[in-house]
Amino acid sequence: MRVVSEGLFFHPDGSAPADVLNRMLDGTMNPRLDSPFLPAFAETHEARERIVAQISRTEGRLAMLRGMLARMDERLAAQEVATAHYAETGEIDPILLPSCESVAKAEVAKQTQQVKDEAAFVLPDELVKAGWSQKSVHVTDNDIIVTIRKTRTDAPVTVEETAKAVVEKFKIALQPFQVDGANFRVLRDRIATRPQQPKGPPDG
Amino acid sequence: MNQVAKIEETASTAYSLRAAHRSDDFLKIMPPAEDTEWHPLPAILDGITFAARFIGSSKMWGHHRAYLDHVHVARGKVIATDGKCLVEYSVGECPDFSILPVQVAQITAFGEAPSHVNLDSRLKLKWANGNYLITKFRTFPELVEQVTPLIAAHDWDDFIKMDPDWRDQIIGRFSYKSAPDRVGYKRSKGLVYFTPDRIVGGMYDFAPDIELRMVTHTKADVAFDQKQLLRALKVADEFKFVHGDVSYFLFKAPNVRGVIALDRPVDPVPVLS
Repeated sequence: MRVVSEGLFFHPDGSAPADVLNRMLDGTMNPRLDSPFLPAFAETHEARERIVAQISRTEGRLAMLRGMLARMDERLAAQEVATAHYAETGEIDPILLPSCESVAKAEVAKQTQQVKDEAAFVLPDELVKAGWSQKSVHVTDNDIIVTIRKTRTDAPVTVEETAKAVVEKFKIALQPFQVDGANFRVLRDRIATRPQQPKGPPDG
Repeated sequence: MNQVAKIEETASTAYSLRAAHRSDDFLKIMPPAEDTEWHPLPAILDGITFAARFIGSSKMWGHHRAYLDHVHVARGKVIATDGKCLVEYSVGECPDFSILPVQVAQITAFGEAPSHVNLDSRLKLKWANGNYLITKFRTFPELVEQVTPLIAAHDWDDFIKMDPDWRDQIIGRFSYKSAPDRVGYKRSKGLVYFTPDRIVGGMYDFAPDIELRMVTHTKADVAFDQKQLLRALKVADEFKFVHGDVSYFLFKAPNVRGVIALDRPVDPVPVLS
């Protein structure tokens, strides 16, 4: 049985935005103690905090890239100096030796391709009959990974569509607050006088 | 031959326990200073013992609701609340302080009520026979400010006298141990539903199995927390249901006034018979 819980100062089942949202969808929201707009505010706050964190991470990454660029410029200058030094003395500084990474990468790619060819994976008949097909073969340092796929036949449930349906339900739960009723007038007055959900009296 | 090396005391191995120097101070009992200003204290023993049964817990809420754990002596009353139920016990004029139930037990252990109090930084209580207790206390002036209108807002006249038969029937029928908060996927909060002509409850409140048909004096469908219902019925001499934006159960006893906020069933209360 659904029950609208009452308390003297706060909602006895918790006043977190998720609690309020669940109660609204359940139809047991208490207009005296719960703010129906708290879930929306909480979502915005959360998204804002996420963006702030993303900005700070991106700024860190940008600073790191600028540092790398400066080091490359320094290396270029050092190579110029080393060249001049070679012209004078004939000594070759290690900074003038290339890392040869591109050649090494090509060697490794060749070996990987060879392993792939040797593996020559053939999909078993049972899997082919069940609708599976081979997608790709990937070779790592330790393993050969074969990916197989199958097309989904059921209708997929997307988060957007589900959220849309829940929002419609939420709108229905909000309808009583748009008419003048005793309970809901209390809520409107409370929001007008105190914009935020009170957390209870602070310590004395 | 075994040889035992001579043990020599060196600076690095010689040490003493830090507490050893201070143990005398620790054990010393410091009586209240001679010039302590004592205020007379009314007999609060019954009040604090009574109110200590009605406190709540701030454990699941955090320190900003520490007032739930305390028994508050304020404005001549002893007040305790768990957020849903509020009781006040009139004791007479005295200074304001809030203490924990463990301190209530300490005070009760003296046998008699303390006669004087001083609240300079510590709670100092003095008994007529010269005994004294020094402990800590807190104050929650904002809570007192908030709860005073909660009691004063109601009309405390025209109460219904408690009929012992009526009470015993309810207590006898509904004194079961209710199921824990979560049973599988369903939540059982231990509720007892009151409608104007019957009371419905059971171990699992989502599938009630006990019904008592009687005049309940409520004018609307309400739901009690089982523990709060039984506790209030056991202490109440008079009671009343008040219906408005919120439904309340008010109860009275000598020196005692109490308020319980009642839940509202959304679905119709099932009829069992």
